[in-house]
Amino acid sequence: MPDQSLPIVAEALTPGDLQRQRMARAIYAGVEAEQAALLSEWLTLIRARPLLHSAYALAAVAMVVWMSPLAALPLQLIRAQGG
Amino acid sequence: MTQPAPIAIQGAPVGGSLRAFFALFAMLGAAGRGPQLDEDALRALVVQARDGDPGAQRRLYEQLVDRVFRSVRPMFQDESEAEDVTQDALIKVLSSLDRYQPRDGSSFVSWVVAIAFNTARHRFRRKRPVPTEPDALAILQEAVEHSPDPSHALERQRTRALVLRALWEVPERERQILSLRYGAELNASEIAAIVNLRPAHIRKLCERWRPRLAARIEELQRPPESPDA
Repeated sequence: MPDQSLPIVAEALTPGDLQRQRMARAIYAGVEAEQAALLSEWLTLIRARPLLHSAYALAAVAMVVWMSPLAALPLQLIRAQGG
Repeated sequence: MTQPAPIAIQGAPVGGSLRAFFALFAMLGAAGRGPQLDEDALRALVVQARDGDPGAQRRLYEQLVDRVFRSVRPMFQDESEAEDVTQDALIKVLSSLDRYQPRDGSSFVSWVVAIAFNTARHRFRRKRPVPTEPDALAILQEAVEHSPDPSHALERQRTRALVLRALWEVPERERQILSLRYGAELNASEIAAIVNLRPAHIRKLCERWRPRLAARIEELQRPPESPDA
């Protein structure tokens, strides 16, 4: 016997307009937060104390570059040429 | 059908176009439900959404929200928990469309529902008691305050409560599968991939449980016989 649908289940479980509104609002906030979180955190920090936090940001960037495998290869090449 | 009132959006400062996009997004809650798109159209929407088309992202949400909610609703006693899971899952989906890889035999919706199902499973830590009666106060409040047709809304809520009650009488594993089949409307192969069972097993299970569930819902819908009859 082929499986059939059960429309009453789908119909009964479909969210109402009010629920859709609530969920849309929450998704708005969530997607916005996902997109803006990292950048806005950095910007807020730099605005609060520009000199100090810019220095921290540069140090963080330097650490990321220095510790990444992409940076390791040219560093090794430079060392090999120098030695 | 009455047109919904626009919803005021309050939040952190964002760019004008982004704000306008999300304002549209938030209004979807009251917007009419469009026709269900086929797989090719959905995949085309995914490509457009990845390219930053806000309209495509909005239409994707519109296509997904009902099926995601229906797939997770029977896993929770509270409506609000099912709403939370739907929100979390759709935020994940819309924020990670780049990771979606189309596969033959597996629809985009099944990828989305799998994310929702796993989100729900993480949240569903302990077994909950079977709801015996619908929450009368919540039903009346929603029906009277927010619906243009309170009697229709009341009847709808009553049917939902009965369907949920019938589903909650089914064992947990089977209930999850029935929700994916009859709520999210996935096929046996797609469900099998989500719950790690064979498609034949899913088909057999649905064939066994579908008539029982339908009969139980019908039984619950019948008005109680009066003691004098």
